[in-house]
Amino acid sequence: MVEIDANGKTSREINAEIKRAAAAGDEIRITNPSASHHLGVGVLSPARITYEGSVGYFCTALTDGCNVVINGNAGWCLGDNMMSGKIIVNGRGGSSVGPAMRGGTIVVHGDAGNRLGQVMKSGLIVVEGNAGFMAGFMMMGGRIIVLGDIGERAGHWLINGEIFVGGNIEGLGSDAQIEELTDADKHFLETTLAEQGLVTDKPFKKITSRKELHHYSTKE
Amino acid sequence: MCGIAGVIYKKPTFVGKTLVSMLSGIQHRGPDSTGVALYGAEDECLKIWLYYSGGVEISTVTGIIKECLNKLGISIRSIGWNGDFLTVKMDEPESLDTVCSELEAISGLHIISVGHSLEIFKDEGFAEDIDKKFALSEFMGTHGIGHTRLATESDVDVRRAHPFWANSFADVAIVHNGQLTNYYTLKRKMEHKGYRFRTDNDSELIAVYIADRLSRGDNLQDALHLSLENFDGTFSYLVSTPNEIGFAKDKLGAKPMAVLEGEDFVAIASEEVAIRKVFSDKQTGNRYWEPGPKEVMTWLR
Repeated sequence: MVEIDANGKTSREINAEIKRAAAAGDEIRITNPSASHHLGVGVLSPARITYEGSVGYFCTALTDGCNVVINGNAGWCLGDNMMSGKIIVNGRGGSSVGPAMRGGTIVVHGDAGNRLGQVMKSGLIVVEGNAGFMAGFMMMGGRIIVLGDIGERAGHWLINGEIFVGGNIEGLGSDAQIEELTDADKHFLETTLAEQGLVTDKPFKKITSRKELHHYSTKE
Repeated sequence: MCGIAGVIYKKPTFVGKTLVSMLSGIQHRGPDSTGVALYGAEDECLKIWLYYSGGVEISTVTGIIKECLNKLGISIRSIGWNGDFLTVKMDEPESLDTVCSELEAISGLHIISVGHSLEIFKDEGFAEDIDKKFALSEFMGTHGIGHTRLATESDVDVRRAHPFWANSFADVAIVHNGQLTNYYTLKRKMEHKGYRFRTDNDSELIAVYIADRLSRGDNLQDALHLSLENFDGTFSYLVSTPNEIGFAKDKLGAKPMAVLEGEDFVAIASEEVAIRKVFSDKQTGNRYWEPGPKEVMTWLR
């Protein structure tokens, strides 16, 4: 275990230490992150990283295979473009959790901000609390599960992918619709939530794309 | 992109130091200029902060100011300066508008703030620069708001730096991140009501708009809600009055904001990193959240 005290260090200095430790295969514990931006960006090895406090914008962005635990809040664009791996937030997720993520799992045990999973292409995001407006904005693939309520314009311009909501849906976005859950969906929810240690008896609703926008009969 | 921050305590403290630390955490959002609006103990005198950009010696300018105010029959309690910034303490005038107009008729003189408890300090540069220049860390008060500016649609200079005082209304200030896309329409409407604008900055309009609503009997929360009906664009802004601070966020929620509420304080900033410069995330019992679109909140000291 390598411990990195982030106090007084720049994000660049912290990231250099993270990458050195990750390359050596060490488990990494970061203290006093103080919501600094860009932490753990660009790590392409299966590093195990724990942040003891809040992190700022773009934490764990552009990564492949990291296992990250954040014992605090996360700022905007957590896991931006991540390829694989897992991020657990034991606090609040900021706006745009998992934008353009291509794989892996993000679990937020608090609420998430606006534009959850914006343009995500694959992977899974689970939010234990509520999510803000425009969740799944221009989402192209993957799955989002929100156990709580979800804000206005949910699934706005959804292209592909699925959003499961346990609580209330304040409003649907353009080109979004609510579909009946299939047996496969129910099985997916049951197993996924069990894997994350989450329990709910709420009846889920599924938001999908009506495919009337951003779907074209002819290709260029 | 700009950074905004605000804090309100139940009891007087070194509020200037708090805001300087918070603003240093979001300096990356705005490196052009930095400023704070601070509220200290209420003074029976009116305090006016001025910025002078003319070519005359400051000592001569003070003489011109005295002459101007004497002509208006206003008793001056004190007049001092710090570099290009001057401060005048005076008895309450019959017409604040007249005083402001006469002072701004002096070539190169610009009003930065007017108030019994409000003082605005702003300049080009970083938070630490204005702290050194104005000894902000020594300022005792209950609340204040601050700003780090990345200039987009108007020049980089002191007059266009934030916070903005609400022209014609003492003790009201705002800081703003974003842009009003219907600025010119609203400005024309307010000019028809008789308001004059000193800059081409949309943030100045927010200050005057809010103060106008307050003067018509709205409470701050009502004024903020109404602003969301009338303002177009992507924005978040903070307002401060002698007893209160509040925020409003646009309907797209495109501009960030984080709030930490404790037992005896509330801290608001564009990013959590600013809040964590002062308030540790190890301290339990505080409530942290990010306001959503169209959200408005106010806090009394």
